[in-house]
Amino acid sequence: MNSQKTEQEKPGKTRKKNVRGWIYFKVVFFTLAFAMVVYSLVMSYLAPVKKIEALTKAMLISENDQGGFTSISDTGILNLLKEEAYLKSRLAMAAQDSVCLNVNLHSNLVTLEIQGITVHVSKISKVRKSRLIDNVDPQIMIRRFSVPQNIDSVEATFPKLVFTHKEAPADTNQQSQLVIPDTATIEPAYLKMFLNDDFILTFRETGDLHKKELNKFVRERQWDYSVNFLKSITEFKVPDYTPWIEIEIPARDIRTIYRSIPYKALVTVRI
Amino acid sequence: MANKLIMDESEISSQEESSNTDSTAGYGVNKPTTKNNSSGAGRILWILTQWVGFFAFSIMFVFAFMLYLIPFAQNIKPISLFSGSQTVLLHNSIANDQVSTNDLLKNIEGLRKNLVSKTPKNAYLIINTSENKFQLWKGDTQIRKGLCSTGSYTILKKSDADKQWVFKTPRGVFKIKRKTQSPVWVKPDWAFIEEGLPVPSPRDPSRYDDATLGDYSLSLGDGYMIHGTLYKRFLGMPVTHGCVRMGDEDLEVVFNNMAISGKVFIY
Repeated sequence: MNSQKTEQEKPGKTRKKNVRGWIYFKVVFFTLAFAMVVYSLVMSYLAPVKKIEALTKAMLISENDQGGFTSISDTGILNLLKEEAYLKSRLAMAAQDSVCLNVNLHSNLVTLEIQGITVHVSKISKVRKSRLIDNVDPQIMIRRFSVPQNIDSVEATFPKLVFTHKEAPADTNQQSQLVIPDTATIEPAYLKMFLNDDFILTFRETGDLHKKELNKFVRERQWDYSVNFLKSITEFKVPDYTPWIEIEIPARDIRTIYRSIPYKALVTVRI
Repeated sequence: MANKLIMDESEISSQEESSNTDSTAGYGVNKPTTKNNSSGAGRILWILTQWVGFFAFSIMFVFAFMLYLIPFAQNIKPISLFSGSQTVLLHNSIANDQVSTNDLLKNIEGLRKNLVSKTPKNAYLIINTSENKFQLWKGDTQIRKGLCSTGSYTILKKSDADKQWVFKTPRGVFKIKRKTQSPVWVKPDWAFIEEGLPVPSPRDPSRYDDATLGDYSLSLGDGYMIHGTLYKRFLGMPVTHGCVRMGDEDLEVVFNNMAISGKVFIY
């Protein structure tokens, strides 16, 4: 009778064991997942910190070569230094023959310039930027933008140039009608410029007209970035970080800027 | 909480099972009851719900993590954690007055003057090919602005000749090379090819057209001109073969103000 009961109790015990095993598995799984998330977030936080250190070290090395470095905390002098750097950079751009981009975060203007002449002006409605920019020694950014930067590559929601291909008619009977361009088509405007000095400058259209498309575009890029970021932290090294500025201006100005500037255009930024 | 529930469920079902076994032991038959069946299905449903919930949560978390948490963590105010080079900066701090404010101001003034000196003294023209607009300036005064037409970005291809023409307005800085009243257009080859006409000899009378360019033209070189148009309804649109077309009144003002070698900025 007893042995029969023990045999009958066995499946219950096995089930309890299974449940316990399942719970252990879950605890281990969630602990590991939590540890990975924390590790990734710590690395994410450390990336800009490491960048600040690298920028500061580079600045100290170059300054030591030139005979020492003076740290300045007076905002008045810093503003003058920023203005001086900005004007120097604009003058360097003015020596060029092509269209150059000038971003002035002080007066909230984005302008296009050719040989020092302002040919196009756009008012900035909103600016977002990495916290790094405000937390690094201001002189680092001032020095950085005292010379024009080159655009390395660009990502945009619309093409730079659109050509229409037309086949020449064989005779007057085949002559095609005059094509009237469709100016009513409005594409979402988002332009991301990767500058050669490891900096990202982004233009986003103002308003909510294309909010959905723009967010999708941004999310796709963020996803790619995060995937690469996660790949790089598997080597247990703090990944590289690129400081960025995102500027909101009207969509038509973004289109004008992208279509006007050459592929490797010069850019100056007044921080 | 979910774990606890699962455990409770299994405990209950195992208890139920053992009680069933006890009650049926006397008859020697181990017959499952309807209650047992329904609790088994409920358990499967519960486990399924848990798995679905777990996967849904995981997917949502991965998305939130990749798209929002990583950028968020990167944008938390950074503090120096590494070798302490920032500390060096602070220790190196020297009194601000070592940087002379006066010198800076003088330097800035000099740079500004240098930049202002780049502005042409004579009238100059700015043409926006993206929006098909123009502005006429003299110093820092805007004389006139309005609509124009620029290159259509069309590529005309002649299949049998393996030749093509790109109709776009060049960008950059140009100078007025020549000013002409009542200009006559000497039609290039593409003007005939585009209409499906045979290309005449270079001095053929059919090449000369005194109606299309309007009252004035200003040559920019390389065959590019600023001129009038018969197609005023297309002003503000990119429809030309590379030249800049203007309305009659605008063209007259531009013609009268722009000197030979006056600068034209096209962007």
